[in-house]
This record gives sequence, C-alpha cells and structure tokens, in this order.
Amino acid sequence: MDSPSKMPTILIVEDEAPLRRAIKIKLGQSNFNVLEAKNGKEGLETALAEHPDLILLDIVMPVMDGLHMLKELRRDAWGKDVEVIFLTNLGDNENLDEAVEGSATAYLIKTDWKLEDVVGKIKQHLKIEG
Amino acid sequence: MEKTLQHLKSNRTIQGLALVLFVGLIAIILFIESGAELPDHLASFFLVIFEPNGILITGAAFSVLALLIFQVILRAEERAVTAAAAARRDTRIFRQAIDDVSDHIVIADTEGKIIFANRSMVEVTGYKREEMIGKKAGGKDLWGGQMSKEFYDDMWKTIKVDKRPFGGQLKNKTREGKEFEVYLVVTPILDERGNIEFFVGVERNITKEKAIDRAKSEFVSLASHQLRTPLSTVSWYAEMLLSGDVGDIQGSQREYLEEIYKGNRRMVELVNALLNVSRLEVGSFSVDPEPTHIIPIAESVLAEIKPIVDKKALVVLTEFGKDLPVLNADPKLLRIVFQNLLSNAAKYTPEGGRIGLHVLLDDEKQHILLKVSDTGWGIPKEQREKIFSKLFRADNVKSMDTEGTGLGLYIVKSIVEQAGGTIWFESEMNKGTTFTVTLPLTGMKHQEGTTKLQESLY
Repeated sequence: MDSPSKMPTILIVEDEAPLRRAIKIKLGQSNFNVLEAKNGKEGLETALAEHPDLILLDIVMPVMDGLHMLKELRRDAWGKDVEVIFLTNLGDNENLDEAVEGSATAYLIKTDWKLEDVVGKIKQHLKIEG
Repeated sequence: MEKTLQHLKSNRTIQGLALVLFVGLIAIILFIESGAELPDHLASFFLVIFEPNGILITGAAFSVLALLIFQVILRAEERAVTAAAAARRDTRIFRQAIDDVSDHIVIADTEGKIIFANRSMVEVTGYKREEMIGKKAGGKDLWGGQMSKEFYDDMWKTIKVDKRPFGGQLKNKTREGKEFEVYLVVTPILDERGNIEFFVGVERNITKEKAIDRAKSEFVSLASHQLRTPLSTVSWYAEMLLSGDVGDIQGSQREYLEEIYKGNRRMVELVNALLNVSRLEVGSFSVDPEPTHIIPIAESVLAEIKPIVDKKALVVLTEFGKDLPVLNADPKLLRIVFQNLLSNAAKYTPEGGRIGLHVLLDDEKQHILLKVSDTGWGIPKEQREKIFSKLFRADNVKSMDTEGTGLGLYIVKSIVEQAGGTIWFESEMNKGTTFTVTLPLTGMKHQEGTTKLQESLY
C-alpha cells in the first residue's frame, strides 16, 4: 500500500457517534483518510470544502437528511460526479428507489452488512485491490 | 298524504250526494212536465210515482242508485290514488336514501354516460348534477382518468363484456383537482334477456383508511430504523472484537462473543422479517414483474444454502422441467419463496438426509409447480393448521433448533397468494415434508409500492 497521504479520502456522514466511530476505525485500518460529519448540513460543507473521493451517507439525520444533502451535492460542479454510498438502516421510503437509482452508487443496510464488507465495497468502487 | 286522502274522500261524498239528489229531482220534474204517452205497464208505474208519496219514493230510489254507482267509482279512484301515492312515496324514499347515503352513487347508461348521480357524488367531487349528466362516468372530463389505461380497460371489459360486477381501488380527483381515494364497485344491471340496461357505480371514500395505512407503514419504517441502530452497534463492535482488532481474544471469550454476535444476527433477521410482514399486510411493497427464468433463481438459492447442506452432509436432488416457459414474475419475490422453503428443508432435516427441489409444469400446462421436499422431522399433525400463521413454530423443531423467526412460511404464503398461486404441504413425522407451490403461468400483476420485500441474508 502507498503512504496514507496518497490513500483516498472517505467522508462519513452519520449522526450516531458509536457507528461513526466504528466505521472510522475500520477505514483507518485500511489506511484510508477519514473525514466525519454529524448531519447532512455538516456533510455538505465538508464535502464541498474537502472534495473527498467517496461519501458514506446515512439517510435519517437531524438538521439535514441524507437525501436532501445528496440533492444539494449533485447541484455542485464537483459534487455531481462524486461517488456516494448510502449506508443506512432505512428500508422503506417513498421515492427512495428513484433517489438512489438516479444518483447514488450503492445502497447498503447497516444491519445487513459487516464492517469488513462495507470496506470491501468501498474498495471495489474506488477500484482498489485487496 | 293520509290527511289529504281523507279530505278528498269526504269532499267527494258530499258533492256526490248533492249531484244524485239534483239529478233525481230533475228527472222527476221532466217526467211530470212531458206527460208523454207511455206503454201500459210503465203508465201504471208512473201512476204510482206521480202520487205525492210516489215522487218522494222515486227521488229516494234514484238517489240510492246513483249513490251506489258513485261509491263504486269513488273506491276505484281511491285505489288508484293510494297506489300512485305509494309509488310516489317509494320513489321518494329510494331517491332520498340514495341521495343521503355517504357512498357515492352513479347510474350510467350502456355507453357509460351518467344518467343519475347522488348528492354525495356532487358533494365530494364539486361537480353539479347537471354538469355530470350525459358525460362519461370515470372519464377525464369529470373526476376520473387518474388510473392507468389497463385499469379502465379491465373495468369496462368486466362490466360490459363479461357482464360481471367490477370492484377495485382507485384515485379520483375533485373539480378543484384534489385527489381522493375510493373503493368502487360497478354492477351491470341486466334485463330478462341478459342485455345490459344500465350500470350502477357505488364508491366508498377510503381516503382516511389509506391515510391510516400509510401512517402505520411509516411507523413500522421508523421503528425499524430505531431498532436497527443499536443492532448495528452491537454487530459492528462484536465484529471488531472478534477480528482481534483490539487485541487477541482467547478460548471462551471468543465463544461468548460469537454467541453475542449470533444472537444479534437473529434479531436483525427478525426485524427484517417483521418489516416484510408489515409490508405484506399494509400492501406497501411493490411487485415488479419481468420475464423471469425460474431455474437460475432456484440454482442460486441452492448455492446460498450450500454451507448448511455441506455441514449436515445433505444430499440435494433436483429436477427441472425442460419445457418451462419464461414467467412474468418479480424475481425478488420468487427468490424469497425459494429461500424460505429450501432453507427450512435444510434446517429441519437431520444430518445425512435428502432434500429435493422439483420445478415442473403441471399436467394442464396452466401452472408452474415448485416442490420442495425433505426427509426431515416433519410437522406434528395437531399443528399443521397453524404452520402458516405468523410467529408460529412447531414444537418438535422449536426444541431442537432455537433459530428461526416463525415468519418464513407466513411470508411465502402471502407472496404466493398475492401472485394468484396456492401452497400446501404433506408431512409425515420423522419421514419428511413436501411443500408444493403452484404459480399461474399468467404471471404476477404489477403493484405500485413504496418499498420492496427484503430477501434473507446468508
């Protein structure tokens, strides 16, 4: 592996501190650079300022939810192409299908995914071996 | 009404009496004045009546006769008046009832053009009665046109061609464009020769019920999100501990952690299954049929259960019909059916047993038959009725195998029935069980939904 500075940067947008922490630890072990945000508003600001390589996005969050954040993000010249993976526990939502199909790379239910497999999925999307 | 009739009756009686007396009197005077020549027997008769007493008697006789005739006429008239009044009253009662009920009622001619609409229809749609008359019921000019073309085609075919009542849920809109949801039943009214005379449409407003359904479904969705958050925490931290990320774990520590992890997985499965149940019950799940090959789905599910099959050294026998057509079905739903039946077969069969999967066309070539058999422990006789109930698990397997949600077969049955199919089983204790599912070749019907049913995890 290359040095950490050359590793892709992942932005975690997640309101639950323990979950955010677990993902951060696991991604850190794979030498990813990790940015964190507690809600969609913070996530949007961080994303537009830092231009991460991939965003892990929760849906149900205070202040600004994930669907709203994604919509705003897609309006930005850089943001319209950035890889976004929904990592959420919300299975039922009107129009979720269209929201996801139109603009997110993947849609993962947290309880159904091991952390290790989430990291694998991220690597797959960023075309990183191993 | 009764009062008027009484009034009419007494009036007529007085008038009649006066008329009879008048006519009688005139007749007598005419006879006296004329002095005409009369045949003998009549002359002698008149001799009698020309007597002063005779005049009185004749007058009275005339009066009585005329009164009798009049009474007969009066009674006939009374009967006619009563019948007409009763008919008017019936019409009024029926009309008022139809007008005042909360259901929306429309009567349309054989072309579907409205000839009557009740007050509820006027109130709910905002269209005036005279605006509706002559326009096509369910057309875009009025409240209709909100549903797919197939929906309306199906409706008209059922009522006009098949001449059967049609029932279904649909969305309408008011004059102002506000949507409301109804359950509609249209009945063709046939004459004695079986020709359609007219159609009666009765709609019930179900907007409130639908709102409650949606609230229920939203609640389930939110509750699941809330439940899943702590489940994710337990799952991910147990996973990190087990992977040795924060130092080695030894012996019983690993064993105990694995129990925590497994227990948590079961809770996750239970939440997922409960979510599916609520989606099935609220009807909020979508059915997206597409041309589907069944065998690849069956094979991929067999691959999924391979770990448990290998672990228990089970023998898997398969038979796939060569003439199986492509079925218009939702592949995800078919998967859920296979997953539940096959994983049950594997789970409830002792080591070294056999499980079978047969996918064939039935003799009439109307259905696809899915048969999943095992040489397992079987379903106790006294519990067979309950096997498809929610959260029910048979006693014999409950004591052997603590895993399982008790929701799998309920979900399978709901899906199969939604697809217009049937499911049944044969079972013998300690010999095995065979589940048979039939799916009509006509395939599944598309259903709009806000969510999808979720497959099991392996």
